[in-house]
Amino acid sequence: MFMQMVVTGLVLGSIYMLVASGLTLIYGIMHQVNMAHGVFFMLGAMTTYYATEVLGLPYFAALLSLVLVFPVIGVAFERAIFRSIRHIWLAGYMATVGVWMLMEGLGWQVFGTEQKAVSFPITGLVKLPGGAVLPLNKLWVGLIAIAIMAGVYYLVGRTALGRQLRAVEQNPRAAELMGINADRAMAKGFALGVTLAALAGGLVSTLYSVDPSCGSTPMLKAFIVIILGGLGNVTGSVIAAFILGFIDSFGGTLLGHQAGHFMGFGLVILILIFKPSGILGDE
Amino acid sequence: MSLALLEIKDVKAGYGAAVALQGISLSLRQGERVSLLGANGAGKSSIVNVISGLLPIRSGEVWFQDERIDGRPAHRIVGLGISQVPEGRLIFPKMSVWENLELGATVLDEAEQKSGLLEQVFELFPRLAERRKQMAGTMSGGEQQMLAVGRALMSRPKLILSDEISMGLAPVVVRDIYDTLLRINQEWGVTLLMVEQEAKLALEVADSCHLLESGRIVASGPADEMARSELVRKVYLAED
Repeated sequence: MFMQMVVTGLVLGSIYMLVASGLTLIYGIMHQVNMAHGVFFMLGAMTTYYATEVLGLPYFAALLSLVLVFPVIGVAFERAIFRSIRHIWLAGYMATVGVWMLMEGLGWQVFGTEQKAVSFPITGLVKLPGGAVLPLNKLWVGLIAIAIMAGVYYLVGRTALGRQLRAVEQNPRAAELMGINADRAMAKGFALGVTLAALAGGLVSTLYSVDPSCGSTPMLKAFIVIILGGLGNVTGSVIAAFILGFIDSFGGTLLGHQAGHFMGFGLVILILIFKPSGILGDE
Repeated sequence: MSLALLEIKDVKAGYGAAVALQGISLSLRQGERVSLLGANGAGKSSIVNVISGLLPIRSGEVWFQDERIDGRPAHRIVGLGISQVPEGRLIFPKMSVWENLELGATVLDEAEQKSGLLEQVFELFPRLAERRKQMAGTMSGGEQQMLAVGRALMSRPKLILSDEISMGLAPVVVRDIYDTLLRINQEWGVTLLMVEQEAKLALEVADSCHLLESGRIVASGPADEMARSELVRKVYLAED
């Protein structure tokens, strides 16, 4: 029981980590609070479902297709909707809310109301030394999420593209003086962020059934995470994601599903009172 | 073909309703050192930002190496060979010295060229070599200014625009940085356009100087002549 709660906490945490790190990247680079983030999670889940269960693609090929398709979708959304109103904060925010409402509504029309599930190619159980039994697919999902996150760290921390993204985040004007097209860098940051959300959706679709509103809860959890971790701070988000994962897992199992939610938001209230900048945020 | 490296013709520019430049014309020859002198708000920084593409112009023309460059976005100016050392330095504080320098070379594509330049910058500023792994934001103001100059060099510029290098720094440090800029001018042949509030410095480090007042050039000439001129002495050198 205990080990199961630990593993569930890790898996939930790793999913929150993917959703939240995308959200915090977008916030850090564009100063955009992306209320449409859950939409990309949902679209990732749906794409995975149709690619595997309808078109018959292998699961990992479907996951890979998300990495190819969602950067393009992200850039398209950024260009078409968010770029022109980015400098008006409230308009930009409301535009993301609008995209959320619109896409979720369209989702019910296009994908229908029935719950969809994707089967994970690796099945079976693993017995732990303590006698606990864990489903292999959960472990794999957690491991894949962590591997993706390692890739993000490499991309942002070690490559020329990552340097350019961080330069724009720290000072767009100075970045322009270096010869960096700040607008284009922001579009790339947005594309990276929503691709992470889509991947999270693709992973979650193998653990829970999904529908067109399935992105909302992970997005709200991700907001808790980025406030806990410190806005714009990716490492803070990673730590906070696992804290929230454990809270949800232990609180949910021991005290009931609603209690898990309640405790997460309660923690945010406490953080906002005692350390408003978050765990790793600047003072 | 003209002999000028940079030529600004009757440029007018502003921010919203505020007019910053009311018809500026000036030109720089290859290898020249020119300083812009004037009070706060006279338009010195606006000239630099017009050239860099950060401040759009309302009328007039900007030419660089016989190419018209006004209207181009800032990120497309750097590649032509114009690099700015901005006011307030604007280094990237949460990145290492090395990363800052690497970003300065964004417009270069050859790794070999970059590493050669990096060696040269480290030779000019040994302090930066010592601190290559340090977070830029944790360095002293003088070191950050060195980094801003070094970063500007990393795009292999033909023209460097510097804006208020002396701001907030100890005189010894400022002297040091200007000495290095002069070396860059003499050894690399880089043309310099320097905005400098400190009139004495502005006249010392430049061959020629333009004096600005409310968006207009009111006096120009060789630096030694300007230093002797009545107007400059009275107002800017605070002599009686």
